[in-house]
Amino acid sequence: MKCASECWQTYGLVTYDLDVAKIAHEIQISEQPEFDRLFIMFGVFHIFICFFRAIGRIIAESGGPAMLTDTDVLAPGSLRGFIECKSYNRCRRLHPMLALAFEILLYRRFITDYDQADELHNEMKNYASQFEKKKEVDDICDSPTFMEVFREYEKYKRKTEDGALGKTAQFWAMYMRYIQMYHFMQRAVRENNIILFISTLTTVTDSSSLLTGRIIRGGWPSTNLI
Amino acid sequence: MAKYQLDLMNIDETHPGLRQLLDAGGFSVRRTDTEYSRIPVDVTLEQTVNADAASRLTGVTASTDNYHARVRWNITKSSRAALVNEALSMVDLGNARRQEVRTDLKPSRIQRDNIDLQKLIKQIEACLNPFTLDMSLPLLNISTGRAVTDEVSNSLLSVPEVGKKRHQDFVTECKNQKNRFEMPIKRNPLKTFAKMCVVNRKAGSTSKEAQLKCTTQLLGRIAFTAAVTKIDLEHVFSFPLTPVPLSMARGDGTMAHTDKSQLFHLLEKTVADHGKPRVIGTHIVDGNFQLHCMSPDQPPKYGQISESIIRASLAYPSRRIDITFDTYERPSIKDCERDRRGAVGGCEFAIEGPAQRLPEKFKKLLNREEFKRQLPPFLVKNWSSPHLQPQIEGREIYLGVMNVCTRFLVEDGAVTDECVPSLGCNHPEADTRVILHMLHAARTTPGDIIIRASDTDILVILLHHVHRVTATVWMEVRTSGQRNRRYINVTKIAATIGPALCAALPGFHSFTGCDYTSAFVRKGKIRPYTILS
Repeated sequence: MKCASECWQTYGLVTYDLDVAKIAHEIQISEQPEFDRLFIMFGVFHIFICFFRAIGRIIAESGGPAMLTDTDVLAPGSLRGFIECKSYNRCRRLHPMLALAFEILLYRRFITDYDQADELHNEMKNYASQFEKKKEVDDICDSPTFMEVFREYEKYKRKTEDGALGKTAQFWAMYMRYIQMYHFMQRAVRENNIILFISTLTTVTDSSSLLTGRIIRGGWPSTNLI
Repeated sequence: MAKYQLDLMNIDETHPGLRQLLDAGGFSVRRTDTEYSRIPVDVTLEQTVNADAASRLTGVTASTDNYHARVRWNITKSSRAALVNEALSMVDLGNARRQEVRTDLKPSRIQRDNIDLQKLIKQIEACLNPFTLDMSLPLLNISTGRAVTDEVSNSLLSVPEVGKKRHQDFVTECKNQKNRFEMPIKRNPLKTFAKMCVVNRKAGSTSKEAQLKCTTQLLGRIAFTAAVTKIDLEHVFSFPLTPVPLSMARGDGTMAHTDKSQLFHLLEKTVADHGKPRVIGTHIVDGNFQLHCMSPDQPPKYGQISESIIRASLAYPSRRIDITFDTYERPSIKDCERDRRGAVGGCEFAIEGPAQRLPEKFKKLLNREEFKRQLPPFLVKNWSSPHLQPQIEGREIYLGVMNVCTRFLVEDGAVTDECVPSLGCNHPEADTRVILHMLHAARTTPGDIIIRASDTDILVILLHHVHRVTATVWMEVRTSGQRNRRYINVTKIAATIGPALCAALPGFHSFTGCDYTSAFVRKGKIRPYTILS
């Protein structure tokens, strides 16, 4: 609070990890109105860790992590650390990578089912030649054919999540969606975008709430991970 | 986190003006000059203040248990970190500690990630691509192909809904109940793949003993009661004491069994010297027997197993090799026997690609019906792949699986597989399929026929049919590792015991007890056989 007034700020901003934040909230409520102008924030890094732990628990033994060890992308000894998010940096690299692999496979399946694939193919060729000259990607992204493909693919993905391609596909589509949430959240942090952050936080809380109750309220034993 | 979200959403009402502060950069920290490289506040904390705390010089925590010392250490930690940083920057090491947010975008990292990604995609496709599977299949483990139970599958697939519900419940509870926020939240029993356990019913004799004891006790108890109170024993004994006749079944209601191999040894001994085959034309192999002959330490992937099977089969010297597999259908007349052997149980799994890993050790899998059901069709798919061409070169492989028989040959430098209609067969048992292959081989391939199996049933059926072929038929018995591996001259045995007995043998065998019929308790095979002959 002293800091805040020294900096000519109306409010004091503090960030705690989840475990401490809960206690801080309790102190704030019981000692009203002394800390009313203090705004307690949750450390996003710790939220990430919680989220990865939740995802790790869901996909444990599902074969996905075994793919990582089979291809030597992940050493077998590090598997546990990856599942339990004991190593944040490893999770940050491997979860998106695994999700991307599934995403590519799903897209391949989508393209075989997509009836305007030929048209898309021609357009791609067309733009490829243009790209040689102009070296710009902007108008490719704005092209109606591509927009259509993206829209259709998103629909296809939703259908997969609802079980249109069977249960195994549904499971991994769910995983992909969670990792997408991680990307959104990462983006929100990087851009200081609070609105995006709030919207993704709901999903993250949903998934984490499955794990333990402590996480919803904000409790996770803090350890030094970096 | 629910509370945090609520706080953030109501920020304008509770803390007017704070949003502007957050928007202006209070939400995350930018430690570099580049765009899009903000990091969360707590990461910054971990990287700066706590970085020194977690260093190898753990400071006071490692050296003292004194509470006050620890408190002091904690309070002064930040200033100490500042001092350390300052000192490091004085010797030009300050920047080395600063984590670059964009390390992921270094060309070397991108290259490594790309290679790993391609490997991953390839591996998933080689094992089990979840997006090209049949829709009706249950939730499968993409590495082993093992299916999970409905319970686990439902629990996993409902994760988003259940999570949402629990989250909302918590929020409403907090609204209604003042101290709910401090109270613990119940842990959610999520059933995941890790919860899957294998249930394997073992064929043990414990249940049988308990049951038998029970029946003897029953008799004793009746006798005891009869002695104390007046009971008309004659009337009691007019009812069957057991639900199944104990002369033909065991106490727990399963069929009585006798040692089949006694008949085998008996028949073998009818010929003093069996000799050895000279010109071998064909080997006919019982596929499941072959699997049991193989070393229990097999490589972990289906593709490698497939190759070891073909290697083991091609080790036989003849040009033509026939391999027949059992078909596993349910319900089947053989269910009783399979239940006894403990072959049933465990869970479903699918064999899709050569890079897929075995869900369990090979030796354990041999007892699993699902494995024996899935493996042969996979072999048919896998053996036509071009890399087996040098091994198959010059040989002829007939693989009888399900209702069809496929022939593998090398023609014009490529492995071809074609269906042989005359060997198509709907017999579920390899025992009888062997006969079909034997007759076919006798017509098409010159030389002696050797049947690689170690089963009394096969010998009995062979003796019944052997007069239909002119070639000499041999049986090669015992598994590879055993020392008494030997040849049995089936043609000679048939000649010795005579055609009448040969014709009667299958009937005799089933009457005195085989896989489908129960044996007479304590009667065995030898005495009935001597009476018959």
